[in-house]
Amino acid sequence: MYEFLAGLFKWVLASLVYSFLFDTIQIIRLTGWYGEKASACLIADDDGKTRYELKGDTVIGREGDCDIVLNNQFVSLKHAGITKNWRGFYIEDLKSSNGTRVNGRIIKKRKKLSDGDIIAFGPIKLTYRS
Amino acid sequence: MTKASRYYRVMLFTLYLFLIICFLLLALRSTPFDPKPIYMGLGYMAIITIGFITMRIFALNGDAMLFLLSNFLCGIGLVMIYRVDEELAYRQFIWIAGGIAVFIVITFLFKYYGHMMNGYKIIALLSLVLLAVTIIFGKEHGGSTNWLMIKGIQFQPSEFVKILFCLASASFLKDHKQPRDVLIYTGFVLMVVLLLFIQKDLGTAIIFFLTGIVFVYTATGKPAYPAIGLAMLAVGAVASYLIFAHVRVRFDAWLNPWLDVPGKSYQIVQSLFAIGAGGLFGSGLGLGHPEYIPAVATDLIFSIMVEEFGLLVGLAVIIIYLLIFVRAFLSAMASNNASKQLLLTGISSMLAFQTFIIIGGVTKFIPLTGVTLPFVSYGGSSILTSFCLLGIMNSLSIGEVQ
Repeated sequence: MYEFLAGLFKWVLASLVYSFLFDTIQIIRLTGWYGEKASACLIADDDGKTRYELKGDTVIGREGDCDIVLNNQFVSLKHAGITKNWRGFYIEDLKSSNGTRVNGRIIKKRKKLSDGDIIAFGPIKLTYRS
Repeated sequence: MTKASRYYRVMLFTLYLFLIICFLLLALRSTPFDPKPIYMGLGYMAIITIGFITMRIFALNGDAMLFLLSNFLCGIGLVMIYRVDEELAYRQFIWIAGGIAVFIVITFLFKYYGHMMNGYKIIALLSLVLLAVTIIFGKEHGGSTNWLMIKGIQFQPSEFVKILFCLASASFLKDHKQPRDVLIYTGFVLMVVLLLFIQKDLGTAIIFFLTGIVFVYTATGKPAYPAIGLAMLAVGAVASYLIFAHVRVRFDAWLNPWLDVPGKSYQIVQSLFAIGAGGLFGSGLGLGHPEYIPAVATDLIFSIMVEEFGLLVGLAVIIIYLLIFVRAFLSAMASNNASKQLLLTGISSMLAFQTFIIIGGVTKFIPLTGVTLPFVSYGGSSILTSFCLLGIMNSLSIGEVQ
């Protein structure tokens, strides 16, 4: 009985080992050799060229010391913040007067961003890419 | 990013499934059904889970690659050790838990205390003293006098000297690249090698010598140095073949193992029989014959692994080692910090030479000398040292992304 089970499961074990290797190579393909490059950026919608790289925590607003400065009178001084943790990037409205919209909806609390989300700060629209 | 974390999860669950099946088979193997292996498997999975979550949350960019790869090796080693000797497996379990703790602590703290390694004179002296003390007070164990006993705890100082050697070499060669400094460094390496040679620990001596060559070449970039080093190695090998009997035994057993099967070449012949009996797909867990292989839980663990899991799994294990080392080399090449480059290349080549020497030895590619297979073999000193070196590697390579 045990011989049968051991003989059967040796195939399962060998395939598990190789699927482990396959996943390892997939991760290396996706993230490069030195671990995940958790890179993400915001692309301005009006010209499609201006890119803002997101690294860690980012504050977006009209004020000069924000990480991403948007010169528009409808953008508050400190409009919104983007924070990063191990699951991804999150956007949060910093009590701006005109609100922050993700895909057309005003956000009330922290919201996780996913690839292709369109974020609107007043009239300015940015696309999130990861 | 999310895609990669999905693959990370799949990797973790594959590892769980592998361990569960292995330990379940080990539990079914004894009649009546013995639940102890299952407890051990669950305990090990809990440790992996804690480590994985720690690495994913706190490490830079959630990099858990080295953690998972090394734990796969430890897991397959733990299964084999349990199958060979239950008592050893309990101790190995504790060592692995300690090793993972060391790995995590060093991963997070090494960058803050890395400057402490600048006292290379003290570190080098300490490593020489440790080796000298071993010669004087050492205990003989399997032909080589490389064990120290303090209050009932046995350990192998030559393993811990590996860490000290890497730190001292990297911090010395970082800003000493003139021929005179290389000569001083060669003196240090030769002293270490000589002390190990007196302990009859040939494999470890060769590892240190080859790592020294790699260190010098990485620091200076001149191909003349490794050429001289390899010439010295060849001369030393021939001389010690002519002078020392125990070296001659190893060489003769390698050149023709069939002359003295029950005597000199017993180990290598049993290892070859085991690998041959396993074939491409193995005999199945628990159906091999480890009782014929000497030192099966420590040095010759690769043979029994290949016998029971098959050559394909043996190849996969070698590929996993390669992934660990190639990753370290690539991140060393991407770095422009001299001491980081030196440490990464040195540490990964030290582990790589160790792996090569023992896997090459049990497959009769090179003469068999007794060193442990990093992460897989039974041995507290070996596991702790390997995890410590891997922790330094991980700490340096994940600092590279920014």
